[in-house]
Amino acid sequence: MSLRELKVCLLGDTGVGKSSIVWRFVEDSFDPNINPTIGASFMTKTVQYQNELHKFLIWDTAGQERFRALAPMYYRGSAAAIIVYDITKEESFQTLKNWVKELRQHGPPNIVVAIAGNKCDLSDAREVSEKDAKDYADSIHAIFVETSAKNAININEVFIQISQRIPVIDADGSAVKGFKLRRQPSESTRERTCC
Amino acid sequence: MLMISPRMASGMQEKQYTPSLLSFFIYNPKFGPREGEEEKKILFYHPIEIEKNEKIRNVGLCEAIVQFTRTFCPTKPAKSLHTQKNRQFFHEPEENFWMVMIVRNPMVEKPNKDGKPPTVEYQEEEIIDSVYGSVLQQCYSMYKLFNGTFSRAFEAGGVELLTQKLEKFFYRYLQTLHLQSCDLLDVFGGISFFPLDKMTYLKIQSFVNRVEESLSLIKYTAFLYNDQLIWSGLEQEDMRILYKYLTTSLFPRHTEPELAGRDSPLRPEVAGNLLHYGRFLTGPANLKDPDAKFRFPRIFVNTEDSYEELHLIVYKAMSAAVCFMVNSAVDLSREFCEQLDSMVGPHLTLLASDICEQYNVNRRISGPEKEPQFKFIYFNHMNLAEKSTIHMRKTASVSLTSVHPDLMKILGDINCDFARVDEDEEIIVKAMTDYWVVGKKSDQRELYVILNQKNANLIEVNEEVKRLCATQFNNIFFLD
Amino acid sequence: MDPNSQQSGNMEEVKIFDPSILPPCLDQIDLAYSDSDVLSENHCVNEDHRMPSDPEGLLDSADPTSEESNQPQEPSSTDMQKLDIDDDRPLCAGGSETDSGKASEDSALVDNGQDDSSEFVVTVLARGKMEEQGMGMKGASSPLCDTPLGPPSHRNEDVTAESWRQHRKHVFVLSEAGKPIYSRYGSEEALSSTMGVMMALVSFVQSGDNIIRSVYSDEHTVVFMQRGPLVLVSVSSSRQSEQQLRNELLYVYNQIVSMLTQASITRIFEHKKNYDLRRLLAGSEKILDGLLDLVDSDPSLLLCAVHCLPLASSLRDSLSQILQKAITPNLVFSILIAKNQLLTIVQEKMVIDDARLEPADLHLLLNLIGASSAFQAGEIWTPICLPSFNPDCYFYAYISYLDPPECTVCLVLLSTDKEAFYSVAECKRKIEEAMQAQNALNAISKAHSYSVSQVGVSDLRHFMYKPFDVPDNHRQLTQFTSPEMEAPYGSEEEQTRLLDLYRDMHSRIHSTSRPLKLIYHVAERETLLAWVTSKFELYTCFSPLVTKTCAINAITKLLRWIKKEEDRLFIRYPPKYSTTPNPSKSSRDGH
Repeated sequence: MSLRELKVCLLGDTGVGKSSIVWRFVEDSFDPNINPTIGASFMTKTVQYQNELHKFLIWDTAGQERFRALAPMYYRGSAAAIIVYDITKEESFQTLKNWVKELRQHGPPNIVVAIAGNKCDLSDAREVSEKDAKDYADSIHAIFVETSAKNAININEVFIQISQRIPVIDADGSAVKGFKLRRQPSESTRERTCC
Repeated sequence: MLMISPRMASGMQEKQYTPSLLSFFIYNPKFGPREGEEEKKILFYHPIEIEKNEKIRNVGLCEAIVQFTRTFCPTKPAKSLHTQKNRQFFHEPEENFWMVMIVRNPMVEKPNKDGKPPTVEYQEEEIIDSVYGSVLQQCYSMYKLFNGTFSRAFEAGGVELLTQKLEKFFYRYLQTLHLQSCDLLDVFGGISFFPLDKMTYLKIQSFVNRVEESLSLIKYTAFLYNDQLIWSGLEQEDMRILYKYLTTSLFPRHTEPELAGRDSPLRPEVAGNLLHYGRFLTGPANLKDPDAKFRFPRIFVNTEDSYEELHLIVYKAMSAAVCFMVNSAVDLSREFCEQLDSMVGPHLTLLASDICEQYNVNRRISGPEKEPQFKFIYFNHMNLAEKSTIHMRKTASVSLTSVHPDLMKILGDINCDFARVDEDEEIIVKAMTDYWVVGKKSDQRELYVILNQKNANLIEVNEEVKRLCATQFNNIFFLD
Repeated sequence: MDPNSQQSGNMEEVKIFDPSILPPCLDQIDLAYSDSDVLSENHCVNEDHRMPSDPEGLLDSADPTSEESNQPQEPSSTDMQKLDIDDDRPLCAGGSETDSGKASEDSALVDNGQDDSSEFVVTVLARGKMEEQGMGMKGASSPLCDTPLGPPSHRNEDVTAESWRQHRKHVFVLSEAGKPIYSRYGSEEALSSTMGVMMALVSFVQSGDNIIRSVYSDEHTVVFMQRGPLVLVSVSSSRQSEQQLRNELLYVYNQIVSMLTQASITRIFEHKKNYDLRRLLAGSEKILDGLLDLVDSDPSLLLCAVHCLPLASSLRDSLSQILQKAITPNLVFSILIAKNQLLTIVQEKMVIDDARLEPADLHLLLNLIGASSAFQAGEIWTPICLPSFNPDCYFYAYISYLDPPECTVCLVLLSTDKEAFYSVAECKRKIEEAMQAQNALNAISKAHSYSVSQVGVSDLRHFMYKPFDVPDNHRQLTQFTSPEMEAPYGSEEEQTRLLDLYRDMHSRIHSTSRPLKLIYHVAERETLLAWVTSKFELYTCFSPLVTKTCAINAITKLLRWIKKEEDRLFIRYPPKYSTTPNPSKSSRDGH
């Protein structure tokens, strides 16, 4: 079985649950008192996808403002970015939109974007409707899932969908480049094909 | 006060400035609670030349500091504020009446080359809070001794009377503060007791009893010899402040005329009465002169309960001094004074020479004292007895100590450490100069010994102090 | 390379360090001021939404030019919120006033000079308005104000309760503008009035050409310290000396610098006096909380020395060698920690030539790691500034535990190259392999602190020993050794009490005006001896009935025992390596 390494980074506001999602994915556990990430944390997890082994090289970045400017170091060269927001906090969804803009302007052009609305177990305190988020994700051709790291809902889903969308490597070992390499202008509507 | 210490060979000198009084004020926030009324809060302010707004600001800062500390402990607010240049001490002797003393930190002025102005370096760790805090408290005690409480004055005559009294008293009293030489003894505010044998003590006691019986007007008596207390009928706290007044103010003003030289202007006082050496230190200076007016100072005692105002009669014969306190409602006439003089004069004179003789006898018996070899300070919280072989002269104007001021500060530090706990403790330190300081606290008594034995070790120092305690203090201090 | 430049702010000459001195966060701030970047502008608005009790935020984004004004600030307790917005006062005077009487005074404030405003402030304070308004509860009742981050530890404590007052030590950090930044107990919002008062006191004394140092009352000591644009205040009932409390505040300040760098902090506040530093420190409160817990419970901060795990010197040497071999360009420090004590530290030769890693920096680093131990299976890569080493630039720290899931052995590799993660991670793998080959982890797990009984002196209960005369003294990391605290110091309360006693003696011995050589203190529950010579500093604790002779003999025995065991107790010869500096691959390249 062939092994593929997929570099994935998690972005999003502080406290939305990025580390919890990764923790759930890699260790299948949950710590309600998890500390805020400092800098960024690197973990790997290998899963089988169809007849391949996908080794996810996961960069869980700190969402605190003081680490913002480090983000490019992690999303640069990433095959996928999971942008996480908290469904009970509208501001975190706004931050998410800012991240999308940033990725568009500065991120790798081929990057797969997944939007994860975390803490879906707290639907009583919901501030971001699933529909609104889904519409937005569709408009930018991003994966969209509502997750709960706490209750282990849809965590693997995210990574499976990323596996699905990562470009196939053709015979000569180079990835099929399905996009134009020029940077996307920030204000124009994009014809963004799915990564 | 400025002290020059020649330090540099180049001829340029560092100037050392000792702590000095920057300002002193008394206020009551209740007297000016509203906007625009701030000035009304201020009951006394020194120096008087300070501009009104600045006075208000300074008072405001104190209030703010006190309020701020109440955030964390409502019942025990600020006692002092430390800044780079000065220290401020706060004392609330009566509810809502605040006294503040601001002392400038000692500083060193270092000359600069090329005509640049000298750099001033403030020494911020020199002043010990407990020492100057005690000085401030004593300011109040002294005021109260001669004027009664603030609240009574306010009740009697409003703000006007109170401010008058404060002005009159503090204007003079502040001039007597010598902040550059305050130390541990100010924390104790103790009383030096005159060592007496039982016989002589009984003689004195019976003397006092007889006088009190004959002159029924006398409410309280105190007997001193050589600036040291022998007997007192007053409450301890009152005697404490009265003692301070007598030994630092009254007595130094009246040196013995009989010891004065033949040509001394004091001489005439003695003339005429060769029956005894007694005379009034307060009241009539010369009984012979019928027109001379006199009055006795008024003092206030027992202010917590019975609140008594008394005449203070101080009568002296040779080295013995007696204080008689009479209810101030009584009008003390010349006749009364003459009666007192003729009754007390001869007796006191005899008693004084008795004491003197006995004292000399005792000294001969006990032999050359080991005392002078030991530099120590002793204080007993229960009877306020204090003894120091370190201080050569302690008056209001100067306190000469035979040890370096830094060592006295170390004593102050140890005293602060002792004050933190109730239990008996012992603290021994070796200073950078290799002097040893031993502090012992046992059962309400404190003893501090300074040893200049640079090469001694802990065990040897312990032995030395043991010896001192055995001879001087009858082993009342627990020793290992 | 000019070693002196390491300490000066002259960044151009510093080759071996990350020339991208611009700390990450500063990019963000600069962007916030220009209107061109949509991302950060939106981000600003988001932040303001998050702090609805801070009205200035709204005006802030509305009128960015107002930031340029340098009007001096005189916040008062009651009018904290209004005076906060000093830059925007013309816009808000007469606006949302809670006390109508204040409106006119506020505009008067604007017109008059600094002196009058401070006079006003002081009279306002003096009237005890603060008390009337309920001591800083403003903002706390706002339903919108809840801490969006982290578990609700003591952040939501009721600051009017007696229990809040009873805390042993409060620490507050605020900006020169009086804006709250951090409070150990209670939320900054609830305490903004109190912090306003503190700032007013600082300013007031300053306006008299003086500097406020401390306030003493029977139960508390309040210590003020200003560092650049930050004001730190400690309110303590621990009865420690002012100097010690101030050193603790310095640790807090330096921990903040370790996260942001001093250059950033200065620059941010120069640019905008009103800046809310909580934006950058959000989520880091736990780190500061942890530091303050350490300050109380760990003597290494008091002694300014590092505690090593006792280890056979052969094992320590082999570990050092493993670290020495696993290097990569731009790696400057390799540190191995077990059970929160140092195993070994290897330093890059050139870097350490004249400078050295200060224990204080190592404490800050260890605290940071301790507060971020959540993700123990991962490898962390984070910027960190070492303030004593260089307060204006970042290192990049690789942090990983070598023994999951117990996670007691931690490897820290510091690089000057922010892109170096993968090569540094490779070093870790080499280290791991080599350690496995030697079964090192097993040996380390057996190592532990020793018991005082090993010394073989009956009356001795505990001690702390810090040597000065060590090989290569000026290059050495200052260390100390100390046994486990055992009965009667088994409980946390007793341990704190013993440390307090040590702290008292430490402050007397190291007094700036009247230091001492020796203190022997006989108290009811123990007898203590503290001793400083040119060769060492020693603190010992005996049972209370020990005689002086016994105590002296005990110490002689102890010193002999330490000498015998020194190879095991200390890192005697700190190893070095050399990594050829690469021109750093930093953000200069852009992306």
